[in-house]
Amino acid sequence: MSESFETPSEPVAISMIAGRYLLFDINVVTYLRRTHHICGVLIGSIPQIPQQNLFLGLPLELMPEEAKFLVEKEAAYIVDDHAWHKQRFSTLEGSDKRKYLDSLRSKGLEAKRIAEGASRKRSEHALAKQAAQRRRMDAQPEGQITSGDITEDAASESLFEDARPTSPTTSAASSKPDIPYGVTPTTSYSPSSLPENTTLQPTPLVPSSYPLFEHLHSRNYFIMPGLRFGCDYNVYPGDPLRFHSHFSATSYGWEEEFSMIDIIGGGRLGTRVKKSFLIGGEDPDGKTDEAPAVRTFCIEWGGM
Amino acid sequence: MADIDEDPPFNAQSNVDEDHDPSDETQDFLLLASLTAKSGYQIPKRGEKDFERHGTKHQDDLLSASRQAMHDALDYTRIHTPRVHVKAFYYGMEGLDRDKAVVEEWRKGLDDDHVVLVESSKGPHFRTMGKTTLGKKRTTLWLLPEEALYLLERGNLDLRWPLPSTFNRILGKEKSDEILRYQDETGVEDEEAPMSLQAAYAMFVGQDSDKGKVSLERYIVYANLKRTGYVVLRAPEWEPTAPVSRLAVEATTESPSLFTWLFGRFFAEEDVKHAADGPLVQTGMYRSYNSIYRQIAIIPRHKPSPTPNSVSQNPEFPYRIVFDLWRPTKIPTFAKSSPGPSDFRMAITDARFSTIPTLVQMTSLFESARWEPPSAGLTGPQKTYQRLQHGWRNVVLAVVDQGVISYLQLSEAAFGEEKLYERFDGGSGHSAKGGGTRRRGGGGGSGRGRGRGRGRGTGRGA
Repeated sequence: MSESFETPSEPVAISMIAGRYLLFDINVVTYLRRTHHICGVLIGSIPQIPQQNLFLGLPLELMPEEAKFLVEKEAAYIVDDHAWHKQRFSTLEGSDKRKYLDSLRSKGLEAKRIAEGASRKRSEHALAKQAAQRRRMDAQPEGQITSGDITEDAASESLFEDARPTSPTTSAASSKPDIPYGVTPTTSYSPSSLPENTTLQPTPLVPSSYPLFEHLHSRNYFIMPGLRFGCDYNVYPGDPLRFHSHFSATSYGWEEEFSMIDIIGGGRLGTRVKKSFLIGGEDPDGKTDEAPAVRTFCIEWGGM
Repeated sequence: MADIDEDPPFNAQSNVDEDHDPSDETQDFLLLASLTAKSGYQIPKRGEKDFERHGTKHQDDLLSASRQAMHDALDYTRIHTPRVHVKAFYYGMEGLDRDKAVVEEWRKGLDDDHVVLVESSKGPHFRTMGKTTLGKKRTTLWLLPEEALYLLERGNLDLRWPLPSTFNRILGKEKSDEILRYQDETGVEDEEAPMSLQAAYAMFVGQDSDKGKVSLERYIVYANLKRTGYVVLRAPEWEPTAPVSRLAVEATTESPSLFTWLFGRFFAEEDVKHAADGPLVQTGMYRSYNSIYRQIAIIPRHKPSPTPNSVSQNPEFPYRIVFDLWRPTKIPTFAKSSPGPSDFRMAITDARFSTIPTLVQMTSLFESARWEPPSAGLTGPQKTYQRLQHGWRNVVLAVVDQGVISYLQLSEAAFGEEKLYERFDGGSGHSAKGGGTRRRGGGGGSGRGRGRGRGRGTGRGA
């Protein structure tokens, strides 16, 4: 099965708003997920089903670790979105503004056409059904057999199918001036107005667990924030859309002493939620230019 | 869109067993369709995902389909049909600053953070959101940043960058002489440009202390609670400089009866004196367990008190109340102007930048929560466990880690109030209770709760 979405060109823009790293373009989100195994966390409402918290929508929040990884790979760059919007929209006038409004206008008209088309189709369908029913009612006293009913029904159905293309949707409501529906676009960037990668934003500040993140990510794991399982990262063998996570991972310093209780706690919790408790840290002496020297250990319940 | 608005709030808690919180994991968007009203809000079952990759085409196809479903669900443009079209305008610092664009008499009663002007207040949401100006016959409705962002996100608000003439145009809808003077002089037909979701985030999300901004962790908690169905309003403590009303409790607790006042003193525990050395229990003749146990109770225990501790300090963020919450069942009778006491009070903290609260932080946080001693029915030895579970003061703490929220309920527990030894003597100990144990300090509040996923609004640990 081939996936159908636009592939954005690298580097992609990451919006930085109040120190958080956000993505608003679904094509970028899908692309990063597929190509770079970067998932992030969806934090917005889905307007189609807004009263629930299971399925969330755009924007997608990236961990600083994810943003840093993408920037260092030159797959993405960071835009100060507040400054960009302030600059762009305080000066938005003339032909630029016209163009922006026109593009939304055409989207709004399109949406209106679709909505009206759908509602007309519904009402035509209802009318056709009514007519068919009336005919049936009229015919019944004449003693018509049931099979006739079916053909009649089928006939009206096909009549309706035939009739549809002859009334082009554009002729709808032609008497009224065409007022487009209001449109709220999701993203502010368009191919023509993509912010330039000029102002160098500082590389995202990451917690000390970054080497472990990088290590696991380089081994094709998918990584999500670990709060729900009391660890630094939740680690998946494949895309979390389709796979359960294997590890709950916590990073420690190479020489850091930590309590035995932490191992017991992490191990028990991990076993309980069918994950393996993973600890890892970076050997500061073993670092090479290509990769940090990270070692990882898994702790599972022996069940003796 | 309208029928979606009227859908009952869907709560993950309604039919879920303890061990499986569906919001704990990334949901497969192929199952999104199962959440629609038609199928009766079926919650996806656990175990439909795979353990590991096994390199089959079937598995790849499934993943492809899931990603496509996610893409399709999120590739959605918010459209406003005329029937439910609500336009609003952004008067924040970056564009037309409200305080410069709108004369003072037209914005009476607003807070500094009310930066979004709503053109028409149709729809069910404004029953619990927004603030109406005072002092003029023609009033206007304004939204806080989190309210505007939430409504825009769920597709109910067409937010735009205002033109200099916008405010007068909106007022001008009501033919008032005063307004007609402000007609647009340029005469050029111009239109307010719509704001994208991205622009709204860029404008509304910032530092909480900045005018017209809300921090991302507070916003995502707000939105999460709103999606669950709660009424959420900013608590008075939101303003960092606002003095915290220490909820001085009215003297509803009846004064001790004359009998206990007189005789309670004989049994009061402070009278227990210990010698500098020697056994804790004085040698002698004892006819009750009570008098022995009282002598060996040397560790001070926390006693909840309706009046704030005079030495405690003003709560500071993050351990300071941010939101007040009301249950969805209150919505039909809810009035923004007089909401009544809230069902829950909430503080918000960021998992990556804060540590667990100190005793001092916890104590001052609790002092801004309502004093809720156990109800009169909660007495007798059979109800001991209910009493122990009862929080004399309750605060919900939302912990946010990169978009993931866990709710904890912090309760002030009163273990020291359950003196089991008093039962050993068959009721004789009860008279001692009224005498007032004057033991203070020590205990503090005990945190009770557990990490819970999204949507577990109440998060009440049992």
